[in-house]
This record gives sequence, C-alpha cells and structure tokens, in this order.
Amino acid sequence: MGKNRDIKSVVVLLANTAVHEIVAKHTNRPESKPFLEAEAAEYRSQTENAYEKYNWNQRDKDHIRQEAVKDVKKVLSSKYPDVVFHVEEIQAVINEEMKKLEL
Amino acid sequence: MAQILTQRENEIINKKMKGLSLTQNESNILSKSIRPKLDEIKKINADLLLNKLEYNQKAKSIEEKIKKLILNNIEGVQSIILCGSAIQTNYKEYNDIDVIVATKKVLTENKMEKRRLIWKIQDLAKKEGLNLDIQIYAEESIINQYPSSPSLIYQLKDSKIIYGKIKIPNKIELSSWDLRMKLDWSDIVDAYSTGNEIYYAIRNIMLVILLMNRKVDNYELNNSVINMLGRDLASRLKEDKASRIEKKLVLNYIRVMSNYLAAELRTNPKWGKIEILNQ
Repeated sequence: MGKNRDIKSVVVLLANTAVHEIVAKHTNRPESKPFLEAEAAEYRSQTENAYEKYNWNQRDKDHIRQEAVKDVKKVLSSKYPDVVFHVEEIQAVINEEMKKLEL
Repeated sequence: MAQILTQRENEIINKKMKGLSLTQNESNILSKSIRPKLDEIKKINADLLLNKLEYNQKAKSIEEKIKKLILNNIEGVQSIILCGSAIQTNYKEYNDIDVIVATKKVLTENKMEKRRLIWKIQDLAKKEGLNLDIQIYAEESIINQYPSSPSLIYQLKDSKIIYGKIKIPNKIELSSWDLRMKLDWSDIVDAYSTGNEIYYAIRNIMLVILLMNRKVDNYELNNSVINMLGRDLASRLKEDKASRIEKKLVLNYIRVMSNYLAAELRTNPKWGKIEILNQ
C-alpha cells in the first residue's frame, strides 16, 4: 500500500475513534458506556497500528488532523444526528487522539 | 433406540396425520406435550452438536498447550476462553484459534506493554504450531461490556472455558446505539481493503441483522453470509482471491445495507432496547 492510502486508513480509523469517544460521552444509556469505550479503544489500537508504519512529517500530521476532523463531522451528521455535542469537541478529541498517537 | 416422543404421542401424531378426529385428552397431549417438544427439536442443530460431541484427540493436546503458554506468561489469570471457528468446528476447520484471557485485575495500562506480551505469546505458540489470536481483558471489563457488546455476545456464545471460570450475565440488553456502533466497523472497508476484510464487513452486517431478530447463533451467521454471497464468492473473499468487480459489488451492497440499517436503528423506536435471554 502507498503512503496516501495509509494516510486514508489512519484518517478513517482516527475519525472512528473520535466518533465513538464523542458518542460514548454523550450517550443517554449508561449501560452501553463500557462497550462504547471499549469500541473506541479498539479503533484507537488499530489507528496506532496504521500510524506506526511511517515517520510522519508535520505536513502529513496536519493533513491527517484536518481530514479526520472533516470525517468526524460527516459521520456524526449523517449517522448520529441524534447525538448532541459541541462542534469544538471534535477538534479537541482529535487533538487528544493525535497526542496519544505521538506517545 | 432413544425415544424423544412416547409411544402414545406417536400414536396421536399418526391419528392426526390420518385425518382422524382426536379425543379431548389427545388434543391436550398434542398441544401441551407434542408441539412444545417438536418446537424444541427445531431449535437444535443436531449436526453441529454431534460434531462438537465427537472425540477429537487433537483438541486436548492443543488446549493443554494453550493453557500452559498463557499461564506461564500472564500473571493473575482468572480464566482462559477459546472461541471462534476452531471451537465451533471441533478443530476441523479453522485458520487461527481465538483466545480470550480474563485477568483478575487490569494487567497494565500500558498498551504497548500489553501488545508486546501478546506478540511474545503468539511467537511462542507459533513454535508449537499454533496460530493464536489473543485478547486480554480484566474479568470485570468482560462482564460489564458483555450485555451490550455484539462481538463479545457472539464470541462467547459457542466458547469453551479451558481454565478457571467466568460468570457471563444471563441477560443481553442491547440498544440501537450498540448496534449502530457495531455497524460502523463495516464502513471502514473500501476498494483497497483485502477480500478478507470485506468478508468480515458483510459478516458484521449479518450479525447486526441477527441480533435485531434476537438471534445469537454462529452457525446461522455463517450460513447467512454464504446465502447472501454464495459459497464460491464467500470463499474467494475470505482467501482474498475475489476480483475487483466482485469486491466492488459487495462493497456497494455493504454501503446500502449499512446505511439502511443505521437509519432504521436510529429512527424506529422499537430498537431502543433489544432483550435476549442468554441460553
């Protein structure tokens, strides 16, 4: 797989991690929280596997961050329009997840 | 010969099939005993059960090796659970053996450390000729997640505990959120994904459909994927031998189904709570 393709994989997985984090935070069903958080962790672990393949430069990282934010917005509006959250949360969650990837 | 129906019940069935009228007592036996027995028989997959009951010499040796590998390398093991196709087919058809290790407490917060440990055990297993897919969780986490985790519900359905014990909750209580989250796994595949990944994406969709129908049945899950794709295409996808056009067709189907199911789960209040009794 080429680097562009790997960037796309990272973006999709990172976006899914963030979507699940946000949904887990705002779900009105506390019983589902452990599962939703575990799902977010599973996506995170797959994101880490995909992210570890390269030493990303700053331009790549910025691109991943921007695309992931776009993806999260798209997924939340199309698949989870019933989740109430602040738009700023998306950027914050993606930043947090990117930080974890860098560790 | 073992008898499921008594001689009297057989006589009543014969009488009914001949179109003869039944006495009140016979009608009672038909509705209160014969029909419930036949309904129960319908639920049993005899081939699958016989396959599982068959003695397989290989099984004991494989399970002993796994137990030893896990106990020698992981501290505080509460139970070792085997699941997936190896267990479902009594070690006749499988690529790898799925192992869930439940620990008494959280093993480590360091994910890298946990991953390294899993790799180490997998390498040791390979030397013993075993291809293991290992997951490690604290027991509490498994129990908390189970009632709303579609994957765990299916994994543990036909599982085998080879060490220790774990008390799986009897009641499954899924919400539309849980199933929508599960559906999301089918959305990460695209034209660049391997056939195997696409196969599991469609299997994921079928799993959600079965849970919407309150069914937890691995045999039916596998059959429904085969019925959907056809046996040949299902095999080609699994072995990553499907053509680009075949993959594209399946991907289109995945998109349509995933969007339809996600909308149905979101908008129809009947999916708010799906209760299934774990048998």
